[in-house]
Amino acid sequence: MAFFSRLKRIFGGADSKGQGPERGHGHEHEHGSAACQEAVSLLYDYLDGELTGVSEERVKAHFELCRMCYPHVRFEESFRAALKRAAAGEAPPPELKSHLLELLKEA
Amino acid sequence: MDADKRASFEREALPHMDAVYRFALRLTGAADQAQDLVQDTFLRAFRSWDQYTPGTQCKSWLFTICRNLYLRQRERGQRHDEIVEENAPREQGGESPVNPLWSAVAGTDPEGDFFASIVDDEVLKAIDTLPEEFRTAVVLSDLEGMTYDEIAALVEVPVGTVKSRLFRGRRRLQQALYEYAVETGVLAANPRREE
Repeated sequence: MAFFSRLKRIFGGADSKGQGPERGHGHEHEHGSAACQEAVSLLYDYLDGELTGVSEERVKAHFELCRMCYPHVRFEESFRAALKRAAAGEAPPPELKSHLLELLKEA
Repeated sequence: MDADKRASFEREALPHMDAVYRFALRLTGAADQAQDLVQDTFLRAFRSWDQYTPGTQCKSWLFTICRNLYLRQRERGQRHDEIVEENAPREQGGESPVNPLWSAVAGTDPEGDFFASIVDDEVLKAIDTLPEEFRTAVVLSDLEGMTYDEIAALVEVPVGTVKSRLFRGRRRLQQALYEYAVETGVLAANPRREE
């Protein structure tokens, strides 16, 4: 119960700050259920593989089954994939290693 | 003895050169500076090789050296980063677990497909403009796959600080990429998006 009221406070604050006047326009995910609220608060820990004290299976099941939360997960995954893709192409110039080996010989 | 040292260094440390280079590139933002930093890092590491505990995370150890060298250089004025107020309680959008940017695009691009259409250079540029604290956390986690504990040890801050930096760094980055996508017409500006 305490956990739920804490979540309610967190989400209540966020809602009134961020989306107050816009609510009811239809597309916002209001994260109505306590399960959604809990799941989304764990989203980064979940994607980072850092959940503690919570069943990863349970969180995963929620994200996969919840029509509201699923796109939220996909959004974060798409963001991370873009970062990885952008950095993947970056390799040092081939001469760096040979140069380094030369320097180490003198060191 | 010296040959042993050299051999073990080349065997354990050198394979991480590409990773150290990628990290150095994100720290310095320039290929020539990154190469210099990589060289300095490995030279320093080689000289301190007897301080390295075999079997521990060699990559983290190299990254620590790399970052410390970079920060020292930066102090000498080579690069000026925005100073981040660590305990700033409210970034744009607050600390709501519901990503406000996601809420803003949920009507048009709920799964964030626009991220995939942003060219690599722009993504890297956006990473490079993050303040160093955020940039390091995001790079180590999202690009290098390090755990919160590993990052905390490397940067010498508590895990909670790592999480907070990741949270804020990622949201800033997403906002920058979103703005780029809108500017280039990849994504329609959402009139209901809130500042």
